[in-house]
Amino acid sequence: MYRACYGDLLNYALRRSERPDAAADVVAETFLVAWRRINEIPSDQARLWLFGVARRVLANHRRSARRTADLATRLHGELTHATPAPPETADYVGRAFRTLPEADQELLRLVAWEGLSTTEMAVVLGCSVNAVRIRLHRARRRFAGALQDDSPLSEYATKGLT
Amino acid sequence: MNDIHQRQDALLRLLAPQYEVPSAAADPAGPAAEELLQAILNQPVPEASGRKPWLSWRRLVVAGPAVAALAALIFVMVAVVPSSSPTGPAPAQAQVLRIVEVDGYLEIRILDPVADPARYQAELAERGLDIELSVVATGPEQVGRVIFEEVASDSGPAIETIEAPGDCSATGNCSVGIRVPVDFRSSARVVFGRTPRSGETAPAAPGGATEDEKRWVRKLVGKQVGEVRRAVAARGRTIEYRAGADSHKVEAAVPEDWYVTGAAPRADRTVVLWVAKTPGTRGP
Repeated sequence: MYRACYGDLLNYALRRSERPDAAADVVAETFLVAWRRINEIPSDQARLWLFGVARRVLANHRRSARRTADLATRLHGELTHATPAPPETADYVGRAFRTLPEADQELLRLVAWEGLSTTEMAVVLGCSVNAVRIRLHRARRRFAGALQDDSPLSEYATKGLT
Repeated sequence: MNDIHQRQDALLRLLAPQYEVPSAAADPAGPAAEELLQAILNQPVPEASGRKPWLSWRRLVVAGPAVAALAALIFVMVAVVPSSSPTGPAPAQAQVLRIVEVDGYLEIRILDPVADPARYQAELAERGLDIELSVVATGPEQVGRVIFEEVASDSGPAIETIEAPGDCSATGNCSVGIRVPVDFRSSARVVFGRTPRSGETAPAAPGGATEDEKRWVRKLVGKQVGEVRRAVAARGRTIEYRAGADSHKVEAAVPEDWYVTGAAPRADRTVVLWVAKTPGTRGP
């Protein structure tokens, strides 16, 4: 399970952490939680379960900026030197995205970055599939609106999303 | 997903930060991942908060080929496994089990997988345990795993498995031993898998599911009952439903909009489905 999910979890954490080395703490703490709650992990949904834990770990880190000291020294060191490539899209897209509530952003990230289905997102977010569908629909609509506010690309916007 | 959604997602993907991560950190088997794994495994595991009775049972069903049939064969297989100690007990024999008391549990691992089963029983009896522990030849997937566990009484403390994340079979069986509460007073049977001896073949459960069937059944997880019901019927299989934290058998009609949260093929062409009202949960 550890090796099967390590890469996906590392990418999940890297994409959401303010600094790449902070992702090491998220990965370490998430796997530590998994180890302590090993009997609760559904064997067929371990990756999604870990994403759900990592999401809460990230939220805690944002609140307290804490570190899981010493568990991932090597990973921490390696990631310190990881450098992000600049986004390949126009600034207005990022600006529009950042105007959305965090919950909307995470829904859209789970779809576009992790490629999750609504059923899988329901596992990560701990809610029903119906709730995910409704929230995702609203998030898409708000993102389309934000894009329209900030760019001439109205074709990405409200058409077909209301 | 419509065209607009796809274009939105394409834009969003461009926003994802892209890192050039050194291979030493990116490789799941690389030094950074390995160091973290070892650090985590060295962390103490707190006492389990509320054992889920369905879990070990379910894992066992999923873990092995047609475990239901295998369970029925266990007594037969144990009977034909030859003793590894034909010369009789030596005056100072090495321990065949490693038994360590941790936080109110006896953690039991097998040190000698080809020892005379009587020696397992003797070492367990020294600890006051009435556990019939045996080891049977299995395929490589189940070597060192707990492949069967049965406790005589549902009341009282239960036996748990010792799990080793990072050392799991492809089917999710990570068990490397058992944890028995020190106040365990019931009786139990536990079977571990071991590598077949030279010339010995791992017994296969008759009518066991093929790899293709197991793959197909795994893909049913996450889908709604109505869709799965039709797919299973189209393959000429019947369904047995289970639900709830206790994995009880469901006799009533299961609504079509419920979700399959787990699935396992059984030897009798039945597919066992764990179902819940919402995906990712185990209770209705």
